[in-house]
Amino acid sequence: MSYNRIELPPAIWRDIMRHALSDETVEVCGLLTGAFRLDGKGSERHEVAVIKEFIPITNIFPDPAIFFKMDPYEQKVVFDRIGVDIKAVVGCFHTHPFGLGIPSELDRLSINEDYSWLIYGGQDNKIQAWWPEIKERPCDSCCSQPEECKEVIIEKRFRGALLKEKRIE
Amino acid sequence: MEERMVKVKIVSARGHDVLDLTVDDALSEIKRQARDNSKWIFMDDELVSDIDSLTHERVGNANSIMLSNQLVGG
Repeated sequence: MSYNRIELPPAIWRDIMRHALSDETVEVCGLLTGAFRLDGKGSERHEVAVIKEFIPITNIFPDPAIFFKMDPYEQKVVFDRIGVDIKAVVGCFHTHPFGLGIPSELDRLSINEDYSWLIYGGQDNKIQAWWPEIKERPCDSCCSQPEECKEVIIEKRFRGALLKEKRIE
Repeated sequence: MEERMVKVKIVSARGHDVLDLTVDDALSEIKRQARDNSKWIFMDDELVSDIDSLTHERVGNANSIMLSNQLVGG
């Protein structure tokens, strides 16, 4: 099932932007909660992440100007709410106050299929959303006998989109 | 004597899985998840910062064990 749509209501957009601009000297971050909805038919069937709430999380990284690490206790409070008063965490947000809203090398390692990553870039004052497409394929070159090799190569590619207030595709 | 079992909760964006494991298996799984998947480990709601210090006794006596993703980036 592909997951490549996001619905972002204007009020939540404003919450995110307000937080992004609350401190433009460090990376700020947070989680987006909501639910997944199925849209489309047949091969066009896909999931839409419907965002209902933005929850700011403290960045505890020692050098917060260039990296972020979400406070584990604040993060736990949000994850503990899944199944209680929220259905799912559908997105992870952080800022690049001095750059563009594209994933850094560390972001690319961290991004997984669970949810999209929304990144605000201070350079152009825009938010972009990113989600990975992870594919597995058999080894073809990692050793001298690829036909007998049991290794699986995991390819991670990224798709991104500029975020507009209500909906992106 | 019946072997003691512990529950290990692994949370994800859409919910959680609960594993029923022996204490030995739980200790191995916790260390593996922390090492290979960079998980945060919470035992009785306290973050475990030194995974190598985890003991069979501590895992066996924990009332709750929860593993969640570290969210880091740059």
